Amino acid sequence: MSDSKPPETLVSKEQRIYAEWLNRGMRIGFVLLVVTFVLYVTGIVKPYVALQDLPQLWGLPAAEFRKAADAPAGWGWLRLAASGDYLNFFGIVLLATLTVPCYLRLVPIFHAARERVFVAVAILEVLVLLLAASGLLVFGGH
Amino acid sequence: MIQVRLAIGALALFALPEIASAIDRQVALAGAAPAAGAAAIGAALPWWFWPLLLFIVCFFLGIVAVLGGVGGGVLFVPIVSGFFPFHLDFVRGAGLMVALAAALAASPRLLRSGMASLRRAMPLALIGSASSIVGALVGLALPANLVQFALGLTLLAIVALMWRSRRSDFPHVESADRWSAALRMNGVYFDAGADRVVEWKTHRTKAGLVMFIGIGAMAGMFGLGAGWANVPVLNLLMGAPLKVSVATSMFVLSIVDSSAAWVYLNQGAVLAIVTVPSIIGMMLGSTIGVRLLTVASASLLRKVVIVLLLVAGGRALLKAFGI
Repeated sequence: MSDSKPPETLVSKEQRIYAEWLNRGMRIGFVLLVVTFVLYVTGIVKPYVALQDLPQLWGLPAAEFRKAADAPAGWGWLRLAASGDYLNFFGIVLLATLTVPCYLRLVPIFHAARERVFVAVAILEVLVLLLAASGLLVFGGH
Repeated sequence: MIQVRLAIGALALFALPEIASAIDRQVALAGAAPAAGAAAIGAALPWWFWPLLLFIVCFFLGIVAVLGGVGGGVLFVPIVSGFFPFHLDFVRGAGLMVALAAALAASPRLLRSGMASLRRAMPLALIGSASSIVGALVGLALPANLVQFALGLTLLAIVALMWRSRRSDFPHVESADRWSAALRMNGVYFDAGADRVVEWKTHRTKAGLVMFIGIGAMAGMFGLGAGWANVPVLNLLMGAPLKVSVATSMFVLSIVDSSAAWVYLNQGAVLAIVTVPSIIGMMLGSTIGVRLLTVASASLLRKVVIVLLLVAGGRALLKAFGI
């Protein structure tokens, strides 16, 4: 990919704003991920599932792991957020959620430009992501 | 280089604790039955061994992925599920997060350069993210050996696609179709290599949108990321320039993989001990890979990637049959 700066007019305003928001969020998420992982593996923050027990558990399917470790599903991790392993979820969740605020930022821009199709696409995408994040979608489990 | 220092720091972080007990356990393992299987070996080794190895492997995968021109996810899932003791559920969850993190890291620069097109990506990402949720739900509901089998077949198909596909830098598009015009799937970017402004438009939009349903479902089901499928559809089918296709594909992944990742998160299929070292290793490796781009032989590395995928695909098929 080229390092050369393109003429400013070739990149739309909404695209530049989206890139800026994404860039900031990504940096915060990555730092959060590294810091919380260091706290976890060094034992500075005690984990919910002991590190020594993990080799007996990580070979199980996710559903069996949850039963064996009495681990939460969905947003249940928030109750355990003070433990080292689930502390890492702040960074993970931030990365998985980053698209939502970026898309919400686009809505007023497209609305002002009377771009109805893109307003609809942006809102639908946010709804799809929120539905996925809600934990309402469950389809059995093996 | 700061990346190398960070990598060494991370290695030390893993390696320092419990080094003595690790030696004891290794000795005990040497006396165990050799046919105990990967899971038993995984359980016998100290907890830090596999995450440390995962970090190292992901570091090198990050380098190879950049130099080979593929996303990290497509290498991560087959290799880690084939050779590490983690259950496929956790590997796919981590695979999606790895692909997502890489896409999120690359997207701001691609958007600012004008290579990735926000407007073009939005409709494709909407379809892809909705279908990736379905793929993830189905993938988590199916037995692991069935998913391994489908993964093995998919990897072999990717190998065939990579081996045979021709890419076109600037495909000829006579005129934009109705859908393309309505969704404004066109644009202008400055190509520094060619030192000119390139105008582009797309066609066969409906077929492209349909293809993204399948691509999204596979991304969610296998946790692969889907750059390997996005680029041919955008470039060869829809007629976008190659650079725009690669950049837009990466940006689309930052959205599609988010929705699928949520399904894995909500089902408890994301483990920090698997996911975080993978992301950090892959991202450090990618940074080194980008720096090596100017000196490495792209065609040789592409062949290395094909061989890796072939081995991983074969391994997935063997695992599907319990071998």
